[in-house]
Amino acid sequence: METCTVGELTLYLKHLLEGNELLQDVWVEGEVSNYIRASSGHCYFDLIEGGTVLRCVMWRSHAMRWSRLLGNGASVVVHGGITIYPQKGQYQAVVDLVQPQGVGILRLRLEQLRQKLEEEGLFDESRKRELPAFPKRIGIVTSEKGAVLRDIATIVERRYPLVELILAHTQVEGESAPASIVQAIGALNLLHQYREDKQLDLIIVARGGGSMEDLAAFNDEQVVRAVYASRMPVISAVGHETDTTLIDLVADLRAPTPSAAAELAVPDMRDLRAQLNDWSQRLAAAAEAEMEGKREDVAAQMSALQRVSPQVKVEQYRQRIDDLLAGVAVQLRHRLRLDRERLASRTLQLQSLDPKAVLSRGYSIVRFSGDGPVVSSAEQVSTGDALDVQTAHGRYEVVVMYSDEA
Amino acid sequence: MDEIDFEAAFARLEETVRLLEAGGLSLEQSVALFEEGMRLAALCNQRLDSAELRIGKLISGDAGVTRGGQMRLDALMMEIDPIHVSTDRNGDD
Repeated sequence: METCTVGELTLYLKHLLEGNELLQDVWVEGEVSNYIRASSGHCYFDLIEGGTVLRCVMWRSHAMRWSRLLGNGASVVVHGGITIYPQKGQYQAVVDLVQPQGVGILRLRLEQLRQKLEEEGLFDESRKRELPAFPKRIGIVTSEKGAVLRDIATIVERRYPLVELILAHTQVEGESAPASIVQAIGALNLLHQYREDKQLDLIIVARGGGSMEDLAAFNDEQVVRAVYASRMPVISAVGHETDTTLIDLVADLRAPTPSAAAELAVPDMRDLRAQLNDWSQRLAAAAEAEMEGKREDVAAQMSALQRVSPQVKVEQYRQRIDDLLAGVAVQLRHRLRLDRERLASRTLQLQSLDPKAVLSRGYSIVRFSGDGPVVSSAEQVSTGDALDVQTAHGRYEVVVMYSDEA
Repeated sequence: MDEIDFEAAFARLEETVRLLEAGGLSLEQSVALFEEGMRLAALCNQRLDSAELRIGKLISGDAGVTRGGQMRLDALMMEIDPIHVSTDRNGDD
């Protein structure tokens, strides 16, 4: 026999409990009592049933999510592991999940799975991928029988028949469904990975409405992980709008119905055509505006050009010349008139000096005979000189009888 | 021009409109952009007019998710059988 310390015993018991698989995965029903929410965020409460008590603690991270279900008197089911708190020598349940009593074991397991996957980050918004605007090839994971495929195809054909749809047939309910769905998603990913000519833009996983049992495959852990691991974005369209399965949380986009998934996956041809029309009109308008602008530019340039054009200069010079000539002409005429006047007066003067005019007044011109010089003084003559006398009418000869030099 | 895919043609068309509306281009550039844009618009419309939806079923045997090099071989051997899905609506499911 050996003694041990309190610490050793406590530690032994702690390991005993924590090493027991069952005790680390218990679901316990009871009524909540002595509920405290500490300022640290941790929750402390008792679960009582049949006169027995189980001390419980829920740490802040889980408390944030489940404390709303806790309140004194609440009938709950909690999930957690049993451990010992050495300082108090107490065993307690470390609770990570709370549900109201009566939800059923399936629902309990589902909540547990959901929490686990969420904590792993599979549902993070930040990792969700954007869908391409103009997909060329879409994988469809659904049954080849039934209305779902037909509904999707109808909508896609109406909206955007440019795509190619590739069906990876799968069971959508029953025991073999989860494995079948995982394989279908895997096959599409393989196709994308190894076939350059069959690249997929996205996958739609779809099935019609049904009970929670019918949809159970889409709550399967492996299915969720397969969607998370998919190389291309996944749209989930499982059940009706009010049904939420885990695949809806992990998918890149959740659609309320398979038809809605088709509408989310492809653009609408009518919108595209309207856009094409709009752009065509704007193209024409912009081109016309550009042309107008160019024409105006050219006109402005021509205007500017004209102002400095040699043609214009030449015209301007011509104009100057014409003006000058006109001025000169005026001056010439003036001069001409003056000259004429002067000429006229000179002519008159001349006329008055005309010897014929003198003769007609009764004077005679006396000359020496034989066209000799004119006699203008008596000194020029001597007695006996023959002189020629010219009168206005005729001429006669005379001989000098006497001269008188005076 | 025939090689260009719808998405690229659509995007380039939008760009020609944007560039032309921004202005400040030479006459040659304006004309070239306008012609390119109209060609692209015609091409897009023609693609939409002549498109026919193709649906195929992936046949991969039992290969599915196998290990290592076998995966690639399986993938390369995948067939896509054209299937016809009647797309006339005759009531909801």
